[in-house]
Amino acid sequence: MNIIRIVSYLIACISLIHPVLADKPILTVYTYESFTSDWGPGPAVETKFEETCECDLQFIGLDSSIGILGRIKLEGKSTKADIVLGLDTNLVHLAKETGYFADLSSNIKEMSKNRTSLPIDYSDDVFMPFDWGWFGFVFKKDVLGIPPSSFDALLKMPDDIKIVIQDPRTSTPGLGLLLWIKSVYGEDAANYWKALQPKILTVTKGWSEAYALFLDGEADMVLSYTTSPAYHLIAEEDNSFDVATFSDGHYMQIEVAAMLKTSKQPNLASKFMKFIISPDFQNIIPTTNWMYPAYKTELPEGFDSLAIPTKSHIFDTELVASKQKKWIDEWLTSSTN
Amino acid sequence: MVNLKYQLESAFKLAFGFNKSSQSLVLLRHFRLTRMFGILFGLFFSVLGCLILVQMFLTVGSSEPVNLIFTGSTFKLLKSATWQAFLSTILSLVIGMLCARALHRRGSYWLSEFILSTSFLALVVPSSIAALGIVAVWGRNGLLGSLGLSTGNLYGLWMVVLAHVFFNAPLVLRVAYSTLVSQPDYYWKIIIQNNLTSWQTFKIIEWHSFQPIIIPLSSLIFLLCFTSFSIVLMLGGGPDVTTLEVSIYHAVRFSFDLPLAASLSVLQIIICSGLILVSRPLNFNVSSPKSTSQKELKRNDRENLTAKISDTLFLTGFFILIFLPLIALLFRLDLSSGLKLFSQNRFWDAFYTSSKLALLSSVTSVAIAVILINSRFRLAQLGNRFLSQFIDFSVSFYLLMPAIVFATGCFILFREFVNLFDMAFWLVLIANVLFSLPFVTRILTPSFERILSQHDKISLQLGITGVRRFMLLTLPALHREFQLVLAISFAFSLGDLSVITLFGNHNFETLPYYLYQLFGRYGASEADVLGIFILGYIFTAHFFFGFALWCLNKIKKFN
Repeated sequence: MNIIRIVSYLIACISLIHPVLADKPILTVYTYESFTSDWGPGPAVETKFEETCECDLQFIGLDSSIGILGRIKLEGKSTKADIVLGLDTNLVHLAKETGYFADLSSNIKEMSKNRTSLPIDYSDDVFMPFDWGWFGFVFKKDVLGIPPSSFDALLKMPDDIKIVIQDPRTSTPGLGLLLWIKSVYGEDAANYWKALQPKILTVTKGWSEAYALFLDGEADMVLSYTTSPAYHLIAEEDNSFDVATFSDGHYMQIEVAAMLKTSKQPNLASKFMKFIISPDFQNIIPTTNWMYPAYKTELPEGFDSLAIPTKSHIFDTELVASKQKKWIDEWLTSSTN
Repeated sequence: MVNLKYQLESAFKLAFGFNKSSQSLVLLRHFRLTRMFGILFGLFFSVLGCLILVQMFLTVGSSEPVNLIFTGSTFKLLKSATWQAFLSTILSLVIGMLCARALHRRGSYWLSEFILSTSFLALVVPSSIAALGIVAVWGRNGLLGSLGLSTGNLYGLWMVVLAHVFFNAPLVLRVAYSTLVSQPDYYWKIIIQNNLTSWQTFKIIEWHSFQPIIIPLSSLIFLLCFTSFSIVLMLGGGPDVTTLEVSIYHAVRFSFDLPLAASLSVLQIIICSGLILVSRPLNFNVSSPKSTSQKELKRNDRENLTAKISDTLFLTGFFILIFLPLIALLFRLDLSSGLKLFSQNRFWDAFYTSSKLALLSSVTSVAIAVILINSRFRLAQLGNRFLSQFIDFSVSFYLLMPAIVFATGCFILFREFVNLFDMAFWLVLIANVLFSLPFVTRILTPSFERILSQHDKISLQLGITGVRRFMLLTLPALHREFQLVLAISFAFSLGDLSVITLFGNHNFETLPYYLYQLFGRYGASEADVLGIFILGYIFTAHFFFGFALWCLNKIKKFN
């Protein structure tokens, strides 16, 4: 092992040549790529938080939400991240099993409980919600005349109607669809997946690839959120996008954030968690991340026109953690031939 | 060391007998350092490789290390990868050979020059750019679709196969064409005298000349498609189309199942090395085909109407397959929004990172290749088959090892000591060097060894040795080859999308990684511009290396 030590010292020496210019403390937040993009919440959140914190907030955008967890596992205790933002409740149990995440202080938990605007009760010792939404299939009204009104109706659409979905192994919307179909069909889910195959144009790694294919006209429908049409309505003033409301109900996603035990800036990290609850952060979410805010704030105009599902599904996080591997295997078997 | 020396001496005696012992002493005295360096590099490479594999197995993951390989999903995965690779191989072979035949039958100098020199293009185009072009042609809203030709739904398997044919059919064409032109002249004279039909010609000469290249070529192509990564990642579309390499990436990146990743890597290494051992796929010449005859050949079946039609069809088909993706990229280029790319800091950061990486990695890998080839040559001269093959092996090892596994293994090995994400640059650099070395050594070895044995006498007589010998004798003689390998490893680094997918993020990205990010975005016009930019950059680099080597030679002459 001596050689390894020498080599790593050498690498460390080389790395010292790079100057580290940091007079302010740095708060590192791991999140998914679209959160940090120019049109995402990242830039606005950064400006707003840095106004008060006397620090340098750095977002590291990783290629997909499940990729964030993979990265934390890979880095282990040597991770630079102080906060992870962008896992969802389905992954909470798996994430907690790693033991890398710190408990929320009672103070923050109290604040989160008092200000919540989630339609369901949710509380966790480690992870704190920051936004939420329903999954749904987005379509263009002028391309697809009458949208399917349920999963069964989707099957009965002509075969040249194509949908594009995400891989449940890599992206939270993909996992969401898997759980959505599971909660609607239960034991029959595998058969449904089999029957759905001819409709699927392709399975992408992350949400942005799928949405891009849809916008490029390669597919008629894309798995996204019921709030996605708000983007086209508000940002592009285009009202031709809509979501197919399914009478089976829609699966909910609650996106969460947590602090890491290894954080060297625990106070700053707590401050950021409180900032997430504040209206300053929550006001940015609807028109940048295009999701519903998780805490009380005013919704922008245009959100009132969105379809509200009559029924919501959401699985318990322990159940997801114990079944995820089995269900993904089931999906794999029924979607390969 | 004493032991090694003794070994070398006895090996030499065995190989050459006693008459040449004076030469043996000379060889043993000289080039001691050369041999040492090569062996050290070889040791370093193979130890690193083995450590990484062992480390992966030792890391505790979610699944039990036993019975990882013999599961239903692995079987499905293998089936999917094999089917895809099989289709790609067959199509590449058939298209490449039919086009080589058509090209040869036309016998036009300019046509073949044009097709051959441009088919080289497909060998250097980075796979991410090819993926972009393939979608631009074959997608639902692609070039063919917008011309009213419905291409149906090609997503998944067929997109991947098309991309693989894009890369491999030109390779087949080059090799097959060069075997056709290297057939003796009198073969064709006999054909003309006996006025044989096309079919007879094919049966008697063409098929006969293709036979020896079919097995090595098809196993090479199969190998490349079987281990394909970025094409499958970008165009594969879900669980139906996958390769071992992509599954390893999934295991590492998303489920953090390192033992599974390690088992799959070992499986891949076993399959690939088995294939290599059985079929020796690298035993042919990829360099420019040269005709043995001076005169232009006129085949008797050339003026035949059906031949004319079918040749035109094949060559047009080839053109569509190979050039249309690149043309389609230009065709759909939307400059008004695409040029915004150049106003982005992210682009310039990626440009800077990539340039640094590509330059460093091409120079380093060529330098290491020179040391290795030298050392291998001297060891072989001494008749030490074991050590010279060991050097070969230590380099080829990285041809089989998945880059993702390399990166993950490195990461786990060193994570106790340093945070490798801070050193992602160096890791990507090392990976680029290691993974381009097999190609660089393979291209450089034949001419390099020839030059070494030619110059041995004169250099020993004049006492020009070491670095001086390299600068004064070897480099000028081989400057075309050096330009080629420098440009190839530069292009390799500029197109590499393997290790960076594990370590890349907003703050550290290379041009191909940035392209991959843009590829999945709405408004691909920036991605198109970037793709064309990278292509242009690769060609500029080719000329730059030529110029740099020319300058180096000039400077030496003045000294």
